[in-house]
Amino acid sequence: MRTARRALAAGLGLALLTGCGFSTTGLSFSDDDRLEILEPEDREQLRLPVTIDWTIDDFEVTGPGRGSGDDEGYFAIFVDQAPVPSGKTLRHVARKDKTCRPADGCPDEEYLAARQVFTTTETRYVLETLPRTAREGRREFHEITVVLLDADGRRIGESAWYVRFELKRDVR
Amino acid sequence: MTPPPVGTAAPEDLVEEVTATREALRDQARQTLGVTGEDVEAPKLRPVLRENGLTLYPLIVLGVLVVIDTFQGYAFRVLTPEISRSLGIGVGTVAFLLALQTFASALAPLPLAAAVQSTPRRASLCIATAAIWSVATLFTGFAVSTSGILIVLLADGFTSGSVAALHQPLLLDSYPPAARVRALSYYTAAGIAGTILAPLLVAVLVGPLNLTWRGVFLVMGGLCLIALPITIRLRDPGFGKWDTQQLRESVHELHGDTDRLTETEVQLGFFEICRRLLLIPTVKRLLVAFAVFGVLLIPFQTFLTFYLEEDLGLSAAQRAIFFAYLSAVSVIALMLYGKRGEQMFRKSPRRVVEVSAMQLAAGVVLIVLAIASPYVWSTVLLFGVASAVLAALAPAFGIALLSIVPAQFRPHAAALYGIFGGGVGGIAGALLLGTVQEEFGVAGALVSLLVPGVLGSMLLHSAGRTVQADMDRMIDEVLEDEEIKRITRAGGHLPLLTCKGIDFSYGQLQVLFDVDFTVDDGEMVALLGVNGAGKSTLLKVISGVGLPSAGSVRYRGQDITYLDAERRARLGITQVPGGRAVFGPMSVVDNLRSFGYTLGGDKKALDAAIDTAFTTFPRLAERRNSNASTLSGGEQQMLGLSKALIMQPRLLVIDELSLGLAPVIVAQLLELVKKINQTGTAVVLVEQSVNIALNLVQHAYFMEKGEMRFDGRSADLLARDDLLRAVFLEGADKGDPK
Repeated sequence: MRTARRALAAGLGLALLTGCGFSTTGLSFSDDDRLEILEPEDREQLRLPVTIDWTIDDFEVTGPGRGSGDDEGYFAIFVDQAPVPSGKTLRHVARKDKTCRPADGCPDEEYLAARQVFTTTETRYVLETLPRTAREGRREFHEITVVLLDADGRRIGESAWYVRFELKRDVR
Repeated sequence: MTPPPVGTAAPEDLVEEVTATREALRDQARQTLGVTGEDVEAPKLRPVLRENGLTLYPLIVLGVLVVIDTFQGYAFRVLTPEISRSLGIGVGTVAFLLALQTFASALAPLPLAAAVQSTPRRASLCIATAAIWSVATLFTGFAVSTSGILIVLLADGFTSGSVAALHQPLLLDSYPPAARVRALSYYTAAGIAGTILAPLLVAVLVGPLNLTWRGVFLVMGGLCLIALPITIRLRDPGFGKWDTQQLRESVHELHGDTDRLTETEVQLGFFEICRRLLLIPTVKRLLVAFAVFGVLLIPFQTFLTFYLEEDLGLSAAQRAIFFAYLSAVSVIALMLYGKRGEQMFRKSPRRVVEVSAMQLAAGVVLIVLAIASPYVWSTVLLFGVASAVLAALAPAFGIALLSIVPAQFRPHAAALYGIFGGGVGGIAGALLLGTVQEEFGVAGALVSLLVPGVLGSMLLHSAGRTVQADMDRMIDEVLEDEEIKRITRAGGHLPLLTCKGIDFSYGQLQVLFDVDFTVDDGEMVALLGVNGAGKSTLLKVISGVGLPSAGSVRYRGQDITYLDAERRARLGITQVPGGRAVFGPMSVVDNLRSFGYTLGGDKKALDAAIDTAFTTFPRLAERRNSNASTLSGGEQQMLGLSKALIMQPRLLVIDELSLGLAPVIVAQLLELVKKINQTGTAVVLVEQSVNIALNLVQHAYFMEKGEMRFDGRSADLLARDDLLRAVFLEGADKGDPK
């Protein structure tokens, strides 16, 4: 057991020393309150289309290809999924799709929209449709996550703002 | 009781002395274990501790550890969405990592139990594991990828196993039986308090203090590390300081002996201990009941959360308050239960188990009533009462399970408890509730708990019937073991093999009943009986191929009842099975080589032993390269007996040597058996042929319908027509002259 303990400690130590999965830089330990989602409210009951509305402070909305700092860029919206990791571009969404080749401009806006990922330079976005997440007759919840992208389309930092709402579909 | 001088007493007298000592001390031993049989109020805790020079320190330390153990796991589960969004890891991946952590946490108690089975170092392991999970909690705040999260979750999962395997056994050995139910109740209450504290802490850190999940883990890891120094004086009191060790000392006190012998020469390995525990009827029943309890403990919480949200419409904050209310009610119930539980245990452990069974049934019924209730206030109230009723199950389970196993085996029992409760119960519960929820919704899933709850209650109730007997069995084992050590140390000569009170069952069918069987050094005994009498089963018990449900097997004074068959072979017990004692598809020489595996890598010794076998049986030398399956019956028995020449056992057990062989072959083989016996090897000859057996031996046993009907001189057995008639009649049926 002593050997096993030593091995575990050595393994952990080695992993930490080699920086395997850990870092001390670029981490957020307190909440980032630059962005505030105004609409919808948490757990609000909505019908389609769903409008997302937010405000942003200390961040200049410049759009793709314009600006160079971490305080300028645009927004990405992820529906019912985790956003791309910090420092990654939206190409990460298509990382497992061998048919999507950057040379052909993939992933483009249409490709991303099909996967419920949207970009915007506005502080408002309207979702016309949403994929069903629950069987008919059951309560259907959705979650929207907004992150910041820099001019190169890379996610800035670890900050993410989200809201959860319940979708009421019209009975046909 | 005046025992004979140990050094001069006959082996069989010493065996009787062991039994007498056991009987004389059993009542005293029960009291030592805290079962006085009196239905009186338990003494107050502080005087009990003061009287024994104890403090609350071990309870406080283990209580603190069980509280901080909840931090990482709770925070990670609550903050999973934030972690997922922040790191860009899908919820499915995080759920998979959490499943790995749960798996690690469920398995970890086993190696931890193995680590302490021979050395009492539970305290240092508790501290070391707490240090690791504290660092893991802290480092969770610095994880930036899936691999980082995996490392911290696995580190936390593996080290959290110490809580399941070590805390309760350590607590039991830290306090005398008069304080144990309370110690376990307060410890469980501390664990529940952790489930109040952890959510409150997370709420404060992410709310008013505005921290991200990283900040939360940083603070929680820091708090864990700050708490660690208070554990530094925690010491392991040793195995069974207040029970099994005192039982052992009582044996020496009875004989006015000051000699203390505590070391064990034949220690069970890890799997042997687990297997041995699973043979105890109460343990089996309790483990299944634990699994049902696990259904209530683990997935129930998740489904209850959904029920509160979807059916009662409670917000996150209201749900948090609801769970805090349940936890607070449980803590109060445990504080009240401690003394009452102690009193019940003193009166009878059976009462503790049976009351627990009623509590389990009442708990699930209250849950169903809570769901059926039309008002929110009554639902909340009924869930509170259910929580209070179910809270006391944990210490009741703990004291019932750990009191019936020797102190060294308690970490193993506690580990099995964790696996059945958390692993089996958790998975089965998730499957059950998930399936029912698909069809009948969350409320239907919770109502479905009634079925496993009532079944578990019935099982638990049945454990009440066996718990006292199993406690007595544990007492007997400890007393017998210590008495035999005392006798051996005093120069007494015990029989080479002693089987006492052996019961054996094939499933539900019991085939051996309280069988005693003794073989002295160098002796040759015959074990007789008709087909189905239980002879071969008894041999299985001796050689370790079968394990008894009751009784003990001692070899050279050591308890080998639950030792693996291969370890017994290394100790010098060799069996030549009935019929074809060979590996048919292998050649003669390969068979001989396979018999020599106990010689290890000593090729020269093995070659010499094979040469001896060929010299003894020239016919085998002629057929050395033939497949064993092509040999005649006599040749196969020769090959089987060669095993004895190669392994040179101290005890050779031969099953049905003469079966299907011509008399002339049997005579040759018996000559060889005699020669083997003359070299000092004790031989047990199992035969249906009375003439063959009784002409060869002086000491015979006769079995009938699983019971030992005769133990004495061969000549006396020949005079017992009432016993031998059955053998003769059966032989006559087959046309065997006998």
